[in-house]
Amino acid sequence: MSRALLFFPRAVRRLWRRSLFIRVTSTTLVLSIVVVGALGLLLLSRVTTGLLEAKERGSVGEATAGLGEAQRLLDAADTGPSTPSPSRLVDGVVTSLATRAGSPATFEVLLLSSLSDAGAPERGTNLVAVSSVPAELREAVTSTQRQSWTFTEIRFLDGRSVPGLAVGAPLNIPTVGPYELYYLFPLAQEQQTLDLVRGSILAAGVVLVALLGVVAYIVTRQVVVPVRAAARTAERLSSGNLDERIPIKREDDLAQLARSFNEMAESIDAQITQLEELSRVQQRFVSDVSHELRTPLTTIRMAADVLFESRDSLTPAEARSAELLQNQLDRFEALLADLLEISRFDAGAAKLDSESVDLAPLVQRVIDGSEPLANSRKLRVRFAAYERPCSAVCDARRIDRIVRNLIDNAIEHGDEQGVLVELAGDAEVITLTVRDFGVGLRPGEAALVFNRFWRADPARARTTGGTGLGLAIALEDARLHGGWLEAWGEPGAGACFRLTLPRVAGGPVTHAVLPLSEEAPDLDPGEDRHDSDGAFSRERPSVRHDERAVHIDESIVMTVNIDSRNER
Amino acid sequence: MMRAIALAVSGLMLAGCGSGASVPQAFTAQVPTTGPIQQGAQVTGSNVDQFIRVIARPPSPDMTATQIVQGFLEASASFDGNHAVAREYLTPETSSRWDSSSQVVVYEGAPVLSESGPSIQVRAAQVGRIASNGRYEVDPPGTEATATFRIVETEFGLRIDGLPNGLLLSQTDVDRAFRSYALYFFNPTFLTLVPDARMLPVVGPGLATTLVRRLIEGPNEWLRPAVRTGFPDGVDLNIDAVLVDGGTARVDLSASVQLADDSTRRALSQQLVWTLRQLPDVQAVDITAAGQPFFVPGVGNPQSRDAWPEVDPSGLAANAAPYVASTIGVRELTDDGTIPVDGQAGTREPLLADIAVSLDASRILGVDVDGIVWSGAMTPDSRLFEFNELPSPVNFAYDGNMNVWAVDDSGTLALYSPTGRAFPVAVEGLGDSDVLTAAVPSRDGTRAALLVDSGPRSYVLLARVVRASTSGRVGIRVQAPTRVEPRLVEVVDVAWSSADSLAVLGSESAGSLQVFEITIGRGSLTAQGAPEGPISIAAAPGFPTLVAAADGVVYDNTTGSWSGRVNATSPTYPG
Repeated sequence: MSRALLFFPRAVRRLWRRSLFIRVTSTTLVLSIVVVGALGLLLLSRVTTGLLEAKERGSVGEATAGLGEAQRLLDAADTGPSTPSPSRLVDGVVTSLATRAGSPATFEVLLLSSLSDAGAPERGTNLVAVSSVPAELREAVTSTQRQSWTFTEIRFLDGRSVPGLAVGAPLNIPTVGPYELYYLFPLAQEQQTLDLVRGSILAAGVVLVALLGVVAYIVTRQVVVPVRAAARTAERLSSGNLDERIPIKREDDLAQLARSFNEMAESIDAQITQLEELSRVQQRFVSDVSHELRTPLTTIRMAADVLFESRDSLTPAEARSAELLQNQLDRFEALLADLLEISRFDAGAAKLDSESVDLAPLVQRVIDGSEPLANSRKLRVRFAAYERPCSAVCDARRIDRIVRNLIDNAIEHGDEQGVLVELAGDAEVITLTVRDFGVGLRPGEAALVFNRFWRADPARARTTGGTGLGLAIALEDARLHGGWLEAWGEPGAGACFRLTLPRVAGGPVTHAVLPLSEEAPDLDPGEDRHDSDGAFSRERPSVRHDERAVHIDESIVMTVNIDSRNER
Repeated sequence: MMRAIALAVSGLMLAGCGSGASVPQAFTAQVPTTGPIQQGAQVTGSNVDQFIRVIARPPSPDMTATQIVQGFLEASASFDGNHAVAREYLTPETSSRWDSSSQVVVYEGAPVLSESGPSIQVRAAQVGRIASNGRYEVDPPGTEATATFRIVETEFGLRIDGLPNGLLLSQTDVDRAFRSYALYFFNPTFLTLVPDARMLPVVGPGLATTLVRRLIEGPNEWLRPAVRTGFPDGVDLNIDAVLVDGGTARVDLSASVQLADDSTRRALSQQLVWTLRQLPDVQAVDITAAGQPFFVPGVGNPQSRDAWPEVDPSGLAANAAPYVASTIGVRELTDDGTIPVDGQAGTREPLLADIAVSLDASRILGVDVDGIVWSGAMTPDSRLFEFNELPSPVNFAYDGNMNVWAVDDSGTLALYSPTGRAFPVAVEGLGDSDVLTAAVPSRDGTRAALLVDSGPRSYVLLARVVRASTSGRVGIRVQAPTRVEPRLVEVVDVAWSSADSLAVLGSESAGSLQVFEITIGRGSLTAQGAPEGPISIAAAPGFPTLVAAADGVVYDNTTGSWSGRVNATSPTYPG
């Protein structure tokens, strides 16, 4: 739950960042709500002020007229000794004012005495309560003796109350004393009008905001839809579909963009085609050169063979030259073969010749084949197969070549700690790692090792007579199988190459069974468990990128002790 | 997309038009100068929603005993909070004992306060009393109201420790604080409603509730023998409140009312509707019985305020018209002159000088210039016959049943059936010195206005008419005459101007004869002036009052002043 809550704003933020639609529409909505709200408030306050001012003017006018009438009535009634009783006087005044109010009453009247004398009768119309007149207003009327008014809450004896305007004025009643005359104008109608206006403004505002939202949506859509189309086209273009173009329907700015885009795509397409053509010419050239070199090389080879066969009859210096010639010719031939192989890959002529192969003996054979080289480097190659037989459907010749290249490379760069070859597999893939403990690779070099003729240390001489194309060819071979070939290395810690192949050529490769990099394993023979036949078995920990268990049958784990064979 | 926008715009325009304002009005923001005719609620003459209220002043500590009583009398005119301020003039114990609603004594003029020991005595000219049920009784002139207030000293100043229950109010206070409402009951034939006027304070609990509660309680004790009620015994309000909600008064009666038969259902609905329609905000009456619908044959629920015109208390036929006796025969007054009545009465042979017309305008009774009494129908070619059974009456009038009420010069009242048969009518309760000079039955037949000569004075009394059957014989009695006004010293003629008001030709002390309108049940007297030398008067609900003058002209005052209408005498309305 809390995860979802934490996740929500992030999702919204992501949506906000990713969708122009959402951004424009919601910004428009927010801004229009602010603007419409401000406009509505302004309008409402204007209407309120106008309404109340009009009511105030009318009310004060009515109160003034009523006051005049009351005073005239009182003056007329003031007839000396025959003046009516106070009760009749105030009755007369309030009755005449109440008549002015009409029926139903448009206002209420309170006639209150300024004296606290109980003999001064007070009157009110209908059920209006004296508490409707604020004490401040009474104070203002009695102290200034001027007409005063204020907004108040008109209260009635039956519990009702309405907002209203109270207008007060002093009134002198002859023979009785000073009075205050209060007019109370209910503002219920004004409140109704304001409610109506507020409701209308609110409804109009909601409709307006919704409309603006729709408008923003529509406008954004008109921009975003072509932009999205352009983005899709660009994606397809970048994924190699060079014929993809944006359809142009109109002549507006977006059409201009589409036209420019299409022109760019056209030009890229042309350049790529041109580059491809160039590349093809170069490849053919390399291939042709290699083929053309073969014929003279054969002749030179025969001549060199003759020289080499008769080296015993030559002077030692001449014999040494013949040997050198022989060696360099071997390398030259190998180089030529590799060049031809590479040009076959470049031409797309490489084909898989798949069959079911048990990889363990294959690897063993390659290791056996590299024995002389290893001996010359005074190191040993150890092999641990965690699955035996370890079968895969693959091209045995190419796998052989990959493994040989890797092992030769490892021997070439390894040191006295030797080379460790490991083979393991699960239901889907087979992984082979070749680990050496030599100079290793500097950061960034792991990606370069598969480049043609790449050399870690250009100053360093080739000792094994490698062509510089071995790893490139190995990579092409691995790719041809749909597998991976990866490299890892650290300066001083050695390097590791990992080949991962699908059980069936072309099958999916999603993981490897053995790790690419790890701490250099301790290869001290003293800690190995030597078998009676001189071999030692060593349990390989279950290492995998994912958590799938690897079944390792201990009985078939075997290591070849290269040293012992060297002694033989 | 465009279609969606067009839809939205047209929807907005529709919404604008639907909100009541017409399109041009809405778009020009102007006050319209033309428009459809709008109809509102029915306009009534009632001024129930406008009244003046006394704002009572509380006692102050330095008041003298007289001032305390004076202040109390002033404050008791304020009904706010059950006389809350007036009670401040009383000691707390007295306040809790004092029943302000028991009755109201109404006085005129200024009360006289006299101090006698620890008490203050108040004297005033009493003109009437309002009983706790709201009935107003007029007291004869010269009645004096006295009340004694005992004053004690308290820590807050002087206070009243003893006083009579009820209120002592001036006529002005009563006019200001009370309104008269009628409760409607039926005459014995259940054909016409009879008003029973009650005075109710304007400040107080719900008027509709009070009216219905009093209606169910029944007619006042004076009127009770003369009228009938449609409410069966034991029926009461189920919820003791009548809510008026959106123009509809909701009356929930107790469940037992469902046992009533159709005519009873009709009768009580008619009484309720006519009683409640006096309140201007009541447009309809919804009657239920313990929450269940109460069906009344012939009318839907809720019942409209105009649902029952047939029991109109005015009791006059819709085509009623005034009649006069002229030198060319009896004529009917129309808006533009006169037309002769049908039959022999409309001719000069015999030439009738004093006439009465029955309530349904079918029969006429008259006295010719020679003093012979004639009677007959007012239909074409009908003839008049000498009505010998009725010898030279002083005064005669038709009641609602085509019977003639005649008073002879000895003051004896008798009733004559259309066939000429005479029934003596007992008039009970007149003073020894009172001589009956006229008896005018009300059109509903439950009451009679009596003109009485009493020495130098003559006045009008109201008596109830009771049909009592004693020993198998139906007798009619006129009972319990009471004063209806306190001031007139001479009355020469009387007519029913409505079911609860009389038009009289009379005079106050030292005044000349003029027309007065007496509202029964309020004791109020409205002088209306008169033409020179008035002789007789005719009145009917909804019609102008007609006065025959000594100059041989019949006057009316529809224009606000008395103006001659026609050269004739003896104006009369049916009934």
